[in-house]
Amino acid sequence: MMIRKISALLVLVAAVSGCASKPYWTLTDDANKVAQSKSFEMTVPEGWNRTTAADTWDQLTIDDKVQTVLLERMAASRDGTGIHTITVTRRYPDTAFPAIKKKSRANMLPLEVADLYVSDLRKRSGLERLKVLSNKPAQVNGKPAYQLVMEFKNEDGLRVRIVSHGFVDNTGFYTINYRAPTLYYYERDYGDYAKLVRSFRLLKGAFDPPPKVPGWAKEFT
Amino acid sequence: MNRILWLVLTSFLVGGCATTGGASSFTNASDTTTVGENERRLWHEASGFDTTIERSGQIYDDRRATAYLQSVMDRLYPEFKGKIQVHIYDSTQLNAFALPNGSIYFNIGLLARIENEAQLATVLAHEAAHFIERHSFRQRVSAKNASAFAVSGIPFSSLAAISSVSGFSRDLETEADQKGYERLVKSGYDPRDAHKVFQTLANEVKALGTKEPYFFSSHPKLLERIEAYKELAATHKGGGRLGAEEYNRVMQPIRLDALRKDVGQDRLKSVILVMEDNNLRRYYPAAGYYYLGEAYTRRDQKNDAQKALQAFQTAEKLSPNFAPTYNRLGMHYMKTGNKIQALQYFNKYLRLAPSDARDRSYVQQYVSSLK
Amino acid sequence: MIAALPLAVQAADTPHWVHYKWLMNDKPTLPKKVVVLPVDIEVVEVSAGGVEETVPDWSKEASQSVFKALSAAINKQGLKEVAAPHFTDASAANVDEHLALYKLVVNTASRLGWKHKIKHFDYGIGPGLRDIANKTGVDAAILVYGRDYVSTAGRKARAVAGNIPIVNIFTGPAPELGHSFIHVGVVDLKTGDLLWMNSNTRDGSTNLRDPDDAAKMVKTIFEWYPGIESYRRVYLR
Repeated sequence: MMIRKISALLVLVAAVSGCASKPYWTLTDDANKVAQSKSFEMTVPEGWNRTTAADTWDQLTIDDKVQTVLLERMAASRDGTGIHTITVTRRYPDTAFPAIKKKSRANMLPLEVADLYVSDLRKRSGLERLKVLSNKPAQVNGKPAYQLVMEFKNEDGLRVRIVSHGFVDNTGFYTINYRAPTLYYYERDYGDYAKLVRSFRLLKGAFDPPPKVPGWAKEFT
Repeated sequence: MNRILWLVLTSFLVGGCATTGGASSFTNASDTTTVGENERRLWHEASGFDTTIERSGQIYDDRRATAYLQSVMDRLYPEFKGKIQVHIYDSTQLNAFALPNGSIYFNIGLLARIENEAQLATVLAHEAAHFIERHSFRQRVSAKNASAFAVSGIPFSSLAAISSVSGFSRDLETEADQKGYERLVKSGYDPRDAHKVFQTLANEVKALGTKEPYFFSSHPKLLERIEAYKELAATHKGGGRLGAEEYNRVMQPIRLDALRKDVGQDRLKSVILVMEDNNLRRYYPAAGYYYLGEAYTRRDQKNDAQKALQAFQTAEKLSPNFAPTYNRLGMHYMKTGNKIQALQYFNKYLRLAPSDARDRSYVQQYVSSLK
Repeated sequence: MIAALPLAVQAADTPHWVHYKWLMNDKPTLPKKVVVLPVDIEVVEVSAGGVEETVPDWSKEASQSVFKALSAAINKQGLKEVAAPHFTDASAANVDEHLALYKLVVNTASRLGWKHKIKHFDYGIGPGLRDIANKTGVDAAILVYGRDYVSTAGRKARAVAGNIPIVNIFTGPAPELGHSFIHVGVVDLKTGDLLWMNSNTRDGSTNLRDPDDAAKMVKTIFEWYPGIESYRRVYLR
């Protein structure tokens, strides 16, 4: 079993190295400000760094079991993800809320989606003390959405704020999140985040059937 | 080479022969000012924990309840007043723990389950006994020696946390039972209720099949506690303070908040277990039925929608001023196409809910769309 | 065991970092008066089994040694050190939170390999500490944090044994011995700009409680202050 896992990992490393023609991050300027993945695109503010391709899977520990969950995720950061990040994620309907094992449905109300998202985030991140500061209706790409503002304190007592816009449709659950220290960074860059949210668009690729978990990923589940 | 080998092996032998420490118990608060350096280090580390817990917002902000818990502790151990500090910890897990420096943390989850002051005093007396008998220091000394030989090491990087949160050895737990019991009786509490807190926990742990850390860290340990306290109380002639009324008055808001947090953290089984059990539910405010409805809504299994509706309707009847119920009832009727009922409930929500209520702007949107 | 170390990722030639405002200006205005905010050096003793314990007295000693070393280094740079005001309750909480933000910023900034951020270093912690400047008349604050991981005698013995063949079958492999690091930043109190920062890491033989060891580490850090020309030469040509 271990040998298979190591072999699969080696194959993966070789494949990634072999295909490493595009850097993971790129600095945004006028020529490359639109970040596009299969299902969505958005305009990233100039001067920010963004990922060049979407992550397509994540590994979560759910009830002591490691599971591979498919998704589409892109990120942007001005000063480094250790300080702050904008993350845009599409989760497929069957694994929309993986930590609480709930699916999304197109007819869910934004308030219901927000409630499930907060529970899922708390469980996934282990942040029991994540507080919801506000939860309001919003719009993303013309669709009814929620706007959540949450906050927690890290071990050093630094307040960290997360604002999330999210909506569901029959292709899944989409979130556009911005996480930053409440002190200085959050207010400084909120305007850039808001512009990105307004620019978000779903693409035709969103309606393609969801992919299957690749064989190599199953080795690490 | 031979000399080095000899020195290395000798140092291990010397280290390995250190005992569990003949630390005697504290007799009062001023005793605690003369601890040795090693123990002082442990205390300092524990104080670091106190700071981290406070800084990261994990203390539950209810001054009345905190003062009440402290008053019970001071009644149990008046000679340690000012030294043993009780804090309420913002977690719905069923847990309480004592740090080596006399800080005692009591989770809101456990507070919500306890029925009266005598049961509270049982747990507080037991936890304080760990501090007074210096169990953390005694267990730390042996753990440190053991770890010198263990190639794999121990899972925690901090000794101050190990025994506090995950439990002490059987001998030390037994000692804390006995010392805690003596203090319980001496302070005038009825010890016949003492075992019930552990019984409630054991029942819940079994029903939920939970693996999360909880008070006394393992089910066998809970069963031991039940038997130990029954045995100790068997010789008690009867009588003593139960303090149910005051306890339940102080704990009402915490119980409701614990339900809210359990729903928000997806501990739906816990909410359903408590609110569907007549014995447990009787201590909870009627608005708890709202959270039962929420739990069924989120669980979303067969027949849960109907159970949720019934729970919301019960909440409406028994707690008519609890605004969130009307939002959920409005949403139910909106989804089932009954616009008139939906509008009635949404408008009632808007009349009752405060201006900064979390769901207000959603409800305003629903009302606009229904008109 | 090892907390996040601030490591200078880009710096083969220069370990330090300089704010772009200093680089843009031919004659940048350097701070004249500075205040040193509470120095946080934690000394952690690590046992043979990897158990860590903070040692309060040692931490206090190390913080004092580093503070003294800083005062000497600041003086040598021609800066005037002004005593920090007394912080209480709300102001203390504000300082604590800014120090926590500073830690996060320097740990991220010093590890980031993005070339444009190296050329245009523009990190900061915001103007939330400007009251200190108003009260004391200083231009900038020096922020410091560090850790000193010290091995017990038992751990050192295990390290020796772990390197001896056959013996190490019984004792296990040699454990990692301690190390020390100090991170220093100069922050413009009015704007919160992180004008300059540098750090130093040494192996387990360094002892930050020892004034000489502390002085050596701080001296190494300040050898690169302000280092505007050297930074410009390496990264802006």
